[in-house]
Amino acid sequence: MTTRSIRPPTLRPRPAQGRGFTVVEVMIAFLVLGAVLLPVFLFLTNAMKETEQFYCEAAAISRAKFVMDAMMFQIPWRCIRAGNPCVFDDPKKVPAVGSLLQAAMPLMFETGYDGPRPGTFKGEGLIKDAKGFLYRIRVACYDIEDLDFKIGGKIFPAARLTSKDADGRYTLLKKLVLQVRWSLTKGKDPLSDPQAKNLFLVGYKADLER
Amino acid sequence: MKRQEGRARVDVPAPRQRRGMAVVVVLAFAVIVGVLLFALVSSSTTIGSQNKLTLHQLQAYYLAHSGMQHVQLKLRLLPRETYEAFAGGSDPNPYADISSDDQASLLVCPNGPFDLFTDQVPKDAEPFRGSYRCESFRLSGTHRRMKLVQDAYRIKIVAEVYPKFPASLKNHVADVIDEEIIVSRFTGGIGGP
Repeated sequence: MTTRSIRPPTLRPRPAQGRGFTVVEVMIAFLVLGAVLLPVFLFLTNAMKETEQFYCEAAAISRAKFVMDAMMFQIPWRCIRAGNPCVFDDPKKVPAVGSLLQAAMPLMFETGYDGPRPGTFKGEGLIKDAKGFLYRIRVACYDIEDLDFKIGGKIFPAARLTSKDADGRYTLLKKLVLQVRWSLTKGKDPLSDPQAKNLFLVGYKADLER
Repeated sequence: MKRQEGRARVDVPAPRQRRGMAVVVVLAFAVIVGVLLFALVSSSTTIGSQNKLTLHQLQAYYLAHSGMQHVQLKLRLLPRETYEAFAGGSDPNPYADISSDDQASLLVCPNGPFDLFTDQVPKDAEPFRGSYRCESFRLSGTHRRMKLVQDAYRIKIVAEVYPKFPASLKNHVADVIDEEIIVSRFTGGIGGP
């Protein structure tokens, strides 16, 4: 009776659901997982850097727009004098215009814009953003002297249409070229960074104040 | 017999069937990772290209406003001559000469590397290729009251920027200003509509 109830030992393997994983299988799994996730982590690290790059780009575009808007639409034509960088100086010395320039310069260029004489300003500056990146900005101005207008078969040269300006030139248009340069390394002056980025804007400002 | 059928339903799948699941799980995992990577790459690329597009649109915007200021300047200086050009009826666009490409001093075209932070910046070169032109200019009305005579003009300025110049003129960015300007025929004073 007892001998019949005892089952002989079997050599059959245990069912698969209870088998588990061997060390080699686990290691291979980790290897595969690592191989898949490594490029993801590398990409995320790179994306972080790119985010800062795009942030700087957006900040530079925003600043360039602000400066160019001020020069094209706000600052009087006669106050923007030719040069690289240009010089802001009111030849008529109107106090209200002087105050406008005084208030506008720190907003446009932040630092480094003081001109050769009191009340004059250079069209350049050094700007530091909230994250610590540095931007150099410079505006050059060129007088367009040989401008003429054609109408009804006649040609009207600038010298016939206007009097000489404060610089002794028959100028009716000024070319404004703006450059912003920035470094992608925090706190680094873009002028000493060969990897610095640049953007440019160009505009022509007409003498509409006569 | 019934009991045996009941047991067969409750049993876990055979080992061969469960191994097939592993392939499905791995494939699903690979697809999820792939989608994640694609989403990350595409979102990053989009921000970069958006910044570039914004800059090119801004360049075109200032060129368009340059063209508009150029037109206003001519209108202020030659208001009577402008009206007479229309009265004569011979010229459909007497402001066709307002074009940055038609005057050498207004040409916006690069000529090698450009950097304002160096000492030698060529006066006749610009950092990118762009242009503006007065596409159409027409007399839309004349107003007479007492001694005041005002003419209204409809002006359309088109500005274009070519980011891939000189390699290609494709993918250019344009900006258009379409405005009406009222000018005094004898003083050149400009007012808005």
